[in-house]
Amino acid sequence: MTSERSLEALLEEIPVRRMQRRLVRCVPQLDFMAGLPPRFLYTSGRPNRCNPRDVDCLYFSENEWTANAEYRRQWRGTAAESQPRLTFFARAHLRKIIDLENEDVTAALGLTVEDIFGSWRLSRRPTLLQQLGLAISRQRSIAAIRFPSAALRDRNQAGWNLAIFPLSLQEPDRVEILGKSGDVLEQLP
Amino acid sequence: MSIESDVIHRSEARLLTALGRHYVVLLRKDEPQLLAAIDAAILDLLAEKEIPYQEQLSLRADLGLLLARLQEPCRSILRSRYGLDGSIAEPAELGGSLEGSIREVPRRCLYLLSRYLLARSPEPVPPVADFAETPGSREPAGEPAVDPLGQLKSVVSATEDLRTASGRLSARKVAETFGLSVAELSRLIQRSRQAVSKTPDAESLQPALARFERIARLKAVLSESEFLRWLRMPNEQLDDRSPLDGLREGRADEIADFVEDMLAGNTT
Repeated sequence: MTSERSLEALLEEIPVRRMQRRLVRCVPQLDFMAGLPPRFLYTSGRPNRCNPRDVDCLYFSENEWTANAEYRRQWRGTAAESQPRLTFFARAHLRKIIDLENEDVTAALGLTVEDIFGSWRLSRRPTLLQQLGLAISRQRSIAAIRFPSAALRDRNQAGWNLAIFPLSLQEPDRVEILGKSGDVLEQLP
Repeated sequence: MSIESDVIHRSEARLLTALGRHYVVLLRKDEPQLLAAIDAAILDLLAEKEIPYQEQLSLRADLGLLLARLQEPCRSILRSRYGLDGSIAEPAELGGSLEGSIREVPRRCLYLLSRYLLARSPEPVPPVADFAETPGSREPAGEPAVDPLGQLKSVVSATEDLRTASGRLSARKVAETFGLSVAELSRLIQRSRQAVSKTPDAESLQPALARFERIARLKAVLSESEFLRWLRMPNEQLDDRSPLDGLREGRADEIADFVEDMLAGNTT
């Protein structure tokens, strides 16, 4: 397995690319807009596919199709799976992201299909993707990982998600939550 | 602490910048010193007499908003410490007794506040993970460092029935909500059934019960019966174990994290 130190070294030379696009997330219909101010760009430091515990990370999908699939997977088997949900949009301008669609990147990182799509919630040790997230959170150049949707893979389809590391965002990087008329509700950094 | 008040006009930016500087300087030193410095920075700012009254009010309002993101009892403890529940003169008095009083503020409350502040600091700061790896400083996983979900009325009301009139979580009510006997819940939180039965809302049970409360937040979306069904349903994200199996294997933190991801709409 790639060690943490070698991951940090790999980040210096790994292929990166820009990203400028709209992002999407689906959430249950709770009173998210009732807060003053509403808080969408919060991170809890809880582990997820691309970050270990205590590393802040924001997750989005690239389009509504993927965001819906992710939502349905979370709520699978419950009535909420097919109930109305809230969809919110963000706009990201990021100078450098790691794109796992690029085979040169996955080869350089030594990532297998299991590393990318495998189960992580009950893993006793940080997965390789989580170790990569930790390495990214420790530098200020690369701000995000673009990774394939496990929810869509379940359906033999393809879609992409983005894990953004807020503490790695440096101007002119920008992530904005958009309101109804396209006005910015919240912004990072 | 010197503040360039002609350069920094916004009280929140002033607070964050001051704390960010302290953080960078003290990061590599021991954690008590870091937390004491953050505490001192806040007390100094609140006590500074040269800040115009209006700005002082604004600073207190911003601090109040930050503290609102913490859970109880830290929210109340820190509000009280920084004089947000009293007159504007009180924090200045507190500032003078920092050396002794830092011991009286739960370290964990200051740690949680520091995490939230540093995540929002306008200056680049080292990642939180570095701080977390300081020996002895790792945050227990039971409660979120910042808890915006806990500020949503619908989420709060979904778990109100787990509490007694005192506001504390009750093991008896938790057991009922999760469809467990008190004896089984006692086993899950590693306490004796006798002790739990005697004082089901004991202070000493609160950290363990808080994990169950985070899981029960799901009732903001699911009905009681659906919640019970979800608890017992095999889940592919848990390697086809049910959430209840996870609880029985001592993985309450992971199940609570899962629920948070569901409510926050995080990807899988």
